[in-house]
Parts: sequence; structure tokens; C-alpha cells
Amino acid sequence: MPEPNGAVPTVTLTIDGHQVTVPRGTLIVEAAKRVRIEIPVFCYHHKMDPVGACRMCLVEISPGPPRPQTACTTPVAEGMVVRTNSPMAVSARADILEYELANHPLDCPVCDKGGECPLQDYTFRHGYPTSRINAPRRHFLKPIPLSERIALDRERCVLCYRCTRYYDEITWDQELTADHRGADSYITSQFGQPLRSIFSGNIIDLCPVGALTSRVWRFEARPWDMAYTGSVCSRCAVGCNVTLWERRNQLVRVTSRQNDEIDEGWICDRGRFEYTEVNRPDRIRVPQVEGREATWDEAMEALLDGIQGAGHRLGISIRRDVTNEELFCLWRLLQGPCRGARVALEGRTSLPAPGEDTLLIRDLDCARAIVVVASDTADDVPIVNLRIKKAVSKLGARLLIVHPDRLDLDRWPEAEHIRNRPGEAAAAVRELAGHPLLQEGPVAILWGDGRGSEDTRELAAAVAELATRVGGRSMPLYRATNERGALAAGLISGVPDDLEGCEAVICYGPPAPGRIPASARFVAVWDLLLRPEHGSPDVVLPALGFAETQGSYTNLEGRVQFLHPVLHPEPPLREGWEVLCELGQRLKVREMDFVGIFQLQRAAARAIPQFAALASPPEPEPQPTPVLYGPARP
Amino acid sequence: MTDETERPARRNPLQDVAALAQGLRTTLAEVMRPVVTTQYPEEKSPRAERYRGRHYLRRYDNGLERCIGCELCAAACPVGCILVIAAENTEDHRVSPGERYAKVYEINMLRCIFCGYCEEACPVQAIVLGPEYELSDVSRERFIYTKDMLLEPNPAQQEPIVVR
Amino acid sequence: MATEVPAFSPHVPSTELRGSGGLTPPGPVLTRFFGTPGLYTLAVYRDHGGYRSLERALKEMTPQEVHAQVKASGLRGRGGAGFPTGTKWGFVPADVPGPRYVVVNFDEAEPGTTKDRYLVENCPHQLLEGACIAAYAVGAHQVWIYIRGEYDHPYRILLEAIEEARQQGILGERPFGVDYPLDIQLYRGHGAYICGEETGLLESLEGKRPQPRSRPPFPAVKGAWGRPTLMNNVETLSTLPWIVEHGGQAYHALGTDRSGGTRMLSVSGDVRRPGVYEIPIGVTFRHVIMELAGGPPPGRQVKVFWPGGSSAPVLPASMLDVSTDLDELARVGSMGGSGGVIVADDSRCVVKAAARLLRFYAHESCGKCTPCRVGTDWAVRTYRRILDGEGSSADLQILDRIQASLQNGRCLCGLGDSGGWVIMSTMRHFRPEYEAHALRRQCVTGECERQGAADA
Repeated sequence: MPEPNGAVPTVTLTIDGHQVTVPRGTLIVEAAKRVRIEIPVFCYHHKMDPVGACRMCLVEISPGPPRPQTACTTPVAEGMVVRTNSPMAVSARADILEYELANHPLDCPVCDKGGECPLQDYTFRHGYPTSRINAPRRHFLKPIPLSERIALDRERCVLCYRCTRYYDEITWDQELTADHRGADSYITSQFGQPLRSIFSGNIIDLCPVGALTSRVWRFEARPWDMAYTGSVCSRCAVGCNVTLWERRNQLVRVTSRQNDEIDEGWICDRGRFEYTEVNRPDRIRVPQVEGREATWDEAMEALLDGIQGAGHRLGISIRRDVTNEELFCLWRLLQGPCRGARVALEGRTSLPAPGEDTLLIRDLDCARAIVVVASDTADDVPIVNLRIKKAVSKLGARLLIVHPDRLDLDRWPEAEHIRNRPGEAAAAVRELAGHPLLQEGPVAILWGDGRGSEDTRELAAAVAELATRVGGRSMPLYRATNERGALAAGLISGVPDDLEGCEAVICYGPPAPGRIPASARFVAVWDLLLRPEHGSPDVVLPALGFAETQGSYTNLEGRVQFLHPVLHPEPPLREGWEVLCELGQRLKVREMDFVGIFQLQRAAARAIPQFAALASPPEPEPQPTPVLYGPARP
Repeated sequence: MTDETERPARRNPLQDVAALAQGLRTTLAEVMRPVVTTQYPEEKSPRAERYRGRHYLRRYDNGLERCIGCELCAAACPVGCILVIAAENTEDHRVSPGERYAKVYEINMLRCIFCGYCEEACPVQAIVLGPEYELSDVSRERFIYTKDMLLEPNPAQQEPIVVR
Repeated sequence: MATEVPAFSPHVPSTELRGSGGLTPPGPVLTRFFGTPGLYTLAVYRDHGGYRSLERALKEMTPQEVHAQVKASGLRGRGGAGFPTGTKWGFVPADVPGPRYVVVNFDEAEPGTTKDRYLVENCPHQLLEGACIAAYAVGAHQVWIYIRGEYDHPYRILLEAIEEARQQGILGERPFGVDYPLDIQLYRGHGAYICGEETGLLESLEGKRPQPRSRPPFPAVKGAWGRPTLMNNVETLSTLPWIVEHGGQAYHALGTDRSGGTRMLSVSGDVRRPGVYEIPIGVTFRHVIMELAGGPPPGRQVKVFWPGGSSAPVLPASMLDVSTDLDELARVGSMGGSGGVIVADDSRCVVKAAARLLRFYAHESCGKCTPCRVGTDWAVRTYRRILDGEGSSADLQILDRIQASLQNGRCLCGLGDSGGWVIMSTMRHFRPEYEAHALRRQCVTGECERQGAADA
């Protein structure tokens, strides 16, 4: 954190002969990363408070006592000389590694962590070359399912307590704990109950050994089999950055990818585990007309016939993770031949388009007070919920909640919860202006639609008024992945449309109102799968999932982020924007003959101001680091 | 052959007979020697104990497969001819002793160079290179050896061998 | 636990509660009135001048003056580390707003140490008075006494003593008419040795798993519930009334130059008169063991003794003339520790004793830091192999390596070091016994053959 006056005092120290200047208060282990010196750690994690439990990071520090000290708990000091490679430090770390391995089973060949395991890497780089372990190892029943999605292997556990601390510090869920003591200690869930937190999956990434592994991904692939790209999660409007892992053109794993602007390296279980649709064997791969397979040409003709002359009785339902590029194509169609058609977005809130200068997620770190209105953030915007928790518990922000029900944020003992009657959040917000918790700014106001129970127009006015009076900024909490993009393109407004009364319906993804309107006489479905709620459509077009498609999303703070597909769709699968452009061309729309997505993106940036970021082509992403540890010693 | 001026001097006919006899002796001696030619399709020459031929996937005595699907053979393979897709053993469907088994195990014999690295990498001695070398076939597809081709027969299900 | 407490109002001293009486001769400071009937009651304690020091401190002295007296006394912590008490008090920041606490470490779980229990059972008010003086000196109003869970009798005695003090107004809003509210709360531990470690105790006090915290921050700055916290041992605090009464210099004069005053030693093991003795610091262990405790049983020789509880490195009989001075003990490679003098005679097998202690440390290891969790357990298994006659020179090497990697900051707290010291000191002084066990499968003393090694 910078000092109040903006200046960050720095400290210069020497690590293995390298001079490094870092902000005051930096821990030695972080300073060493700056000069690419690896200090191995198990218990330390850069997003959690240091505990100094594993003792893996022992280094020699002078001036100081003649004994190794933990680099993960010691802050830097001016003139400090750190030696990671002195005989004392090297043997101290090798001793600790030998201890870690004393009870660790030799089942690396069947362990899902094998190949990307810090314990393996450290043993190669810092351990003794031979083993002197001559005693039998501890045994536990394994693997133990902690939930439907996570398995626990106690034999492999090195008891770094990262998972339990994550549950205590980051999510406040406290679902994991240690039982027994000494060499008999083991990790267990509270009262043996299965994990229920929506944030549980992060402990898989956190675990420095193979003790916590995914059951969804279990034994799917070894790390070296997979190719990966850094992409964006498609499940909600937060836009967490993720790493997508591919093997044999199947999406086999989704892990987090740290972006401190948004997710700080955490993702929720929806993003981590709900990716399997794209691999389903019953996926639609070929267009169908009236139940039989057809060519794209035939399917497009049938579609055009179906929507011919529908005018304002044409309804278009679009999926929540529609890309900006597809939205732009739809916008062109709605400007032209499909003028008057009604559009519905699946999974959206009833929030109106955002005002000027909305809050960014990273601004929560600087907030002194946070007001959460009419939203269960853990459900609506999970990773923003973690950011609120961090601001409150680690950065000292005060928390005020306006919601009818008990929320998980109420676990903070000093949180003030104003229980409004459903639908009366606006009135409750109007009374907040003189509230004692909001005396000190900046104030961050996060507001949702109460899952449809609130009058969002009135609430928007109340929030805007509160923001001006207490000197804060607000952020509407959209739910659908690209809801903000759809609002920007003007495809949808603050009032959700249920498409009732439409005679021809194009349904891209699951139907937005939950089902196809009864009035529809012609239905075209464009999706990965045929779902029960689709009924029996006249035309079926195969669509691409978020791991295969090119494009970008606008997240709830208005940030445009580009997708990097890891799968390569095989014909006749086609990109969504290609399909829409062909439709436009067949409808004689001019300027829809784009030769590639870049041309389309430039056109979109010119046409819609909020899509201006599309014009700058995606930056070549740095290679994502799948597991967040310091770089290996060069 | 105009210049036959250097014709050898006429030799003693006995010398010719002697030379003939000498040649015959070599021939006759060879007749008595043991035959070294093997009649290949009918007869097979012996293989060295460590000969690296066709792969086998071994089983334990109780019939469980040794292979745990760890893919270390595939990782060690210099030509990338091995494909392993693993799956989890369950109580109802137990294939190998531990948690994991190979659901798919394929070797592309056209690519394989029989270096034996897979054998060395295997932590459970599941894959071994056997003595068989007659691997020719009539189509490329048939060179993809699948798991059921590679697995040795299940001793638990075999007829007991009756020794006479 | 609270439900077990009988109603105390109006206060009638329970007939079933009795101090254990002064069984050993009274000493100059802490035990000077021991043996007086009913010393555990407030009335008798006040008859002997009790709570005058607190009154004097509250009425006549500033906190700084109390602090100065303690500094002058040269008092060093009696819990084990022997850190100068006055210096420790100085670490509590004076300018931090909000509550601060004094925590009394009465989790006396060190094998061989019983002095705190003896002090509290005889004279609980001495502790309460000392704790209040300390609270006044560091600006705290709340004292927590963390008492070992197994100590039921001292718990009841303390409960009654606190209730008496409350009824007399010594604890409350205006003790002795001075506007300095004081209160003392009891907290029972749940039976773990690690709760005696200061940060582990704080975690336990906060209701969490007792696992030590990484230091810094030290408890003086960020202790119980994140507040500045002063933690002292029972004996340390019990000394304060005498120091306030007679002055720091007088206390210092009782002991040696670097270690002022007197100490309580609990002598146990192979001696004829085991018990708790208060001695002026500086007498030799020969005096303590041979004179006060009566020496080993007839026909036996002292072989080895632990000068400061099981955690202190052992000393062989040849070092009986070492003084009880803390610095002197540190010089010969041991420590003053918690004052538990354990004596073993020449019929005892040192390897077996060390194995048994290691089993204790492995059992009590909290499991937070790796070297202690795994190292002690591995040492136990190695000892078992040696005692079972399956040892080899490799096992001795392993023990050597384990002891080295348990000490000197490798572990999060002192428990690992203690385990390492047991191995280190016994191997240093009794290497031939180890070699006889590991290499020749025989016990030098014959104890293991007689009793079997299995119970070690």
C-alpha cells in the first residue's frame, strides 16, 4: 500500500550478492523474486498473511543471530544481507525437505499434481540427493471426497495450512480445519461436512502438493500433455482471468490466472468446474432443419424463411456469454433488416445502463467504507465478494449491508446490516446519507437488483444521490457475462423482455425467459446442446463454447477483455460472428463482409463508443504461470 | 585372345585330379558340418533375453493390470508413439491395484523405434518389450496396437496348464 | 467449566479446599510464610502483610516507579527462558490506545516442574497481588490467568481467592479507593503442553487451536486479541509483592550479579526428599540435590540431572558443582529453564530416558511447523529401533542430524529445540551408552534388560 502522501519509502538490501531495492515492509521472499532467486515456500502465499509454519524458506540473514531465519515472515531492512546459498541455509532447507518427504507417499506417478508439483521441484533443486528415510510412512484412508468436486489425500499433505488459512482469511467460510496434533495432524472439513463454499476450488490451486485435487478433472491428463491459453471466464460479469487447459481438443481444466485488477488469482467454483458442456459427446456439431441434418446453406435458407417479415414479432434471445463482436453484428442487423425485433439476454439483471464514472473492482482496495445494496454478492458476483472481504478484513474498510436476508458478509462481526423489506431498498438507501460508518471516504457502493425484487430505476436514483452526498462511487452488479456490453450496444434496456408475443424466435443459447414463448411459430436454436427448454425447434445451428470462440467480453466495470480460444473447432462448426455476418449478407446488409475478426473489431470500435477498446488488438499475453510460485533459480 | 603366348606350361593331369579332389573335399566336409540356415517362416532363430520386440502390458498374478496410467512411458517416448488416457478405479470396476488405471493404452508400432525407454520409465514394470518381431501387417490402422492387444492374458481366467 | 463453580456469595471458605501446606522448609521470599495454617485465605494472607504492596503501588507509586523497582531487582522470567522481566515490561508500548492485558502463564506442564502449583495452592493471593501490580505497571486493567487444564485443585483455590478478593474490593472498580479498575479472569487450558508456550497460550486463550504464532510481532506489541499483552509466569509475578515491599535492590542482593533473587526448584527423581525448595540463586546443584533433597537412595550415585525441567539439556554428575545461576548454566550448555530438577541415579538408562522424553515431545508437538512435527516423530521411531535392539550406526547418525535440525531457529517455537536438546545433551555426555545400545544391543545399566525397553 502506498503511503498517504503517495511516496513509497524504499529499502535496499543484498540477496546473494544482488542489490535489490523494494518498498519498505516487503518480505524477503518477495524481494528475492525481484532478482529471480527462488526461495522455496510451502506455507507462504503472497495473498495471505505469513505464518512461518513450514520453515522451508530458511535463509541466513546478517546482521542477525547466527541461525537460519524464515524469509517469509521477515521484512526487509536497510543494508540487510541475505544469503540463500550459504551452507547453513542450504542444509537447513534440505533438512526441512527431508522431513516433508518422510511421510510423503511415493505415488507421484498417479498423482494429479505430478509434473507441476512444488514439492517435486523443490526436492530436485533444494533437497538431499539421496533419501535416508528408513521408517514406515504414515497411512491414511485415501482419497477422501471433501465435496463432489474436491478430493483430499492426507498422506500427501505437508500441513502447510494454506487451505485452512484460505478458508479463514480470504473467504471467511471456515470449512476446513486441522484435527489431532503433532505427526498425527490432518486436514479435515468442519464436523466432517462436505464443502459448500462457492470458493472451494481455489484450495486446489493453493495446495503445494497433491493433497487437494479436483475430482472433476481427476486423472484426465498430466500437465505435460496439455496446452494452455490465458483467457477470460464466461460464467458471470466479473470477468475473472482464467487459464484454459486443452488435451486432444478437449477442455480438460480451468484454473485461475492472477489479474490484480480483477480477481487477484481467485476464481469461483462455477468458473472452475462448470466447463464440461463443451466436451459433451451429444453436442450439436451439424446444422439441422426440421430434425434432419443439413448444410449451413440449407439451414440459413430455412432460418431466413422462418424470420421473413416477422418485423417486431421477431424475438432474439441471446446467451449470457455472447461476445462483443456478436453483439456488434446483432446491432447491425437490428439497425437494418431486423429493425424492431425484440432482444432478451439470458441470466441478466434488471439493472439499467451504468452512469458515468463507475467504480472499478480494484478501487475497493482503497475504499474506507463499502455499502452493499440488494445483492447477495457471493452468488451474483463471487469474486467481487472476495474483494469486499479483503478490503474489510485486511485493509480496514467498514461494511454496511442493505439486504432483506442474512448474507455471508454478515460473518464480519463489525458489519452493519440494515434489513430492508424486499422492494424497499431505495428507501433504505436514501436514509443512509448521514450514517456514521460513511463519514470517512472514499465510499464504494455496490448495488444489485435484489434478484428482480427492487425497482432498479428508483434504486439507481437513490444510489446516485447517496454517492454524491457521501462522496463515493457506485458499481451496478450485473450478472450476465456480457450484460454491460449488450447495454452499451443498446440491444437491451433496463427492463427485461420475456419475448412473449413473438412469432419467430432465434434462440442463441438457452432461452432467456426460461422457455420459448408459446406464441412462437418458428423457432431457430443456435446452441452447443439441445436443451429441454428449447422444445422442438425448426432450425438448429451448432454454436461454439467460450473456450473455442474468438472475441471479447465487457465485464461489469466496463473493461473489455479478449478471449483466447484453446480449442480449435472442427468444421462444420463456425464462429458466431461468421454466422451472423453471413446472415447479414444474406439479408443484404452492407458492410458485413468482414474478412476476419480484426476488421470486424475495428468496425465495432468505430460504431459503438464503449467498444473502442476492440480496436486495439489483443496484446500478446505473457505466458501464464499455472502455479504461482517464484521463478526457478536461473 | 590373340596373344596366347603366355599359356601356362602343360601340367601333369594328376595335378588336375588332385585339385578336383581338394575342391570335393571342401564340399564333402561342408556336407558333414551342422546346418546353420534356419528355415525362417517355419523355424525361428532364438532371441536374446533382452531383445526389444513387441510390447506387452503385464498383469499381477491375481489378474489385475500392472499399468496405473501414469503416462510416464508416453513422456519418456522419444517418438511420441504412446497414448495413455487414464481413469479412476472404483470399487465396482477395479482394473489395477491403486487409484488409477489406463482406460486407453495405444502404441503406434509404425512410429516405435523399440528403444525400450518406456520400459525403463515404467514405475510398476507394466510395459515390457517382448521377443516378438513379426509385426508386419496390411494396413496402417492395424499398426495402432490397442490395450487389449497389448495386455497379456489374464492368468486368473486362463485354463490351468496341464503338465503331462 | 463454569457450571461446576459453587456459589460464593456470601463468602465462606470451603472446608474441602486446603492449601497443600508448607511441606518443605520456608525460604526467604516466596515461601516465607508457608506452613502458616490457612495462608490460602485472604484473611491470613492480609495478616501477614498481604496486599500492602499492591496498595502501596497503587497509592504511592507511579507505574514507572514499579517498573524501575523490577528492573533494579534483576528478576528474570521463571517460566523457562529467563528473560529479564523489567526489560520485557519495557516492550509493552505505552502509547497505544485501547485495552491491554496481563496474562499469567499458569500452564505448568513441563515434566519435573511443580513449583507454580505449590505456590498457588499455598498462597494464591500472592499471585493475584503480583498480577495486579504488573497490570498497574503496564497500564492494564484486565488480568487473565491461564491455568493448566489438569490443575483442578489450584483452579478451585484460585477461584475462591479471586472471589474473596472481589468481595473485599481488592478487585473491582476502585481497589483500595484508587480509581484503577482491576479484574482477574481464570481460563482453564485443555491439556496441551504447547499451551505453555506464550503465543500458543494466546491462541488457546482466544479459543483457537493452540499453535504458536510467528514472532515478531511479539505478544507485548500484539498479543491476546491483537492487543498489547504482558505475559509472565506465576513465580515471576508472585515475587512482585516482595520486591515492591522491600525494594528491587534487596531482592537483587539475594542472588548473584546477573540473576537476582531466589528461585523455586522442584526436585524430583532419585532423591530421598523430593520437593519444592526456594533457594537463593547461586547455590550449587550439589547443595540442592545432596543437602536439601537428601541425595540419591542408599548405595546409589547421581548419574545425570536435568537442571531446569525436561527441556533443559542434561548435565552429568560431574557437573553437580555448577551454580544455579542462569548464566552459569548457559555457559555449561544448559539452561535455568523452569526450575524442575530431575535427578537420575546410576541405575537409569539414559537412552531410555531420552526416548521417553522424546515421546513426550512428539506427542505434544502441535503439528504446525515441519521440523518439530516430523523430527520428533522420526526421533521416537529411531529410538524405538535402537531400544528394540535393531539399531545401527546409521540410527545414531539420524539422531544426530535430527537434533541439529530441531535447534537454532529451525522451529517455530521452543518445543522443537527442547526435543533437540534432549538428544544433543544425552548424546554428548553419554555417547558410550548410545553406542552400546545401538551397536552392541546392550544396556550399560541393565535397566532395559530388567524392565524391557518396550515401555520407553
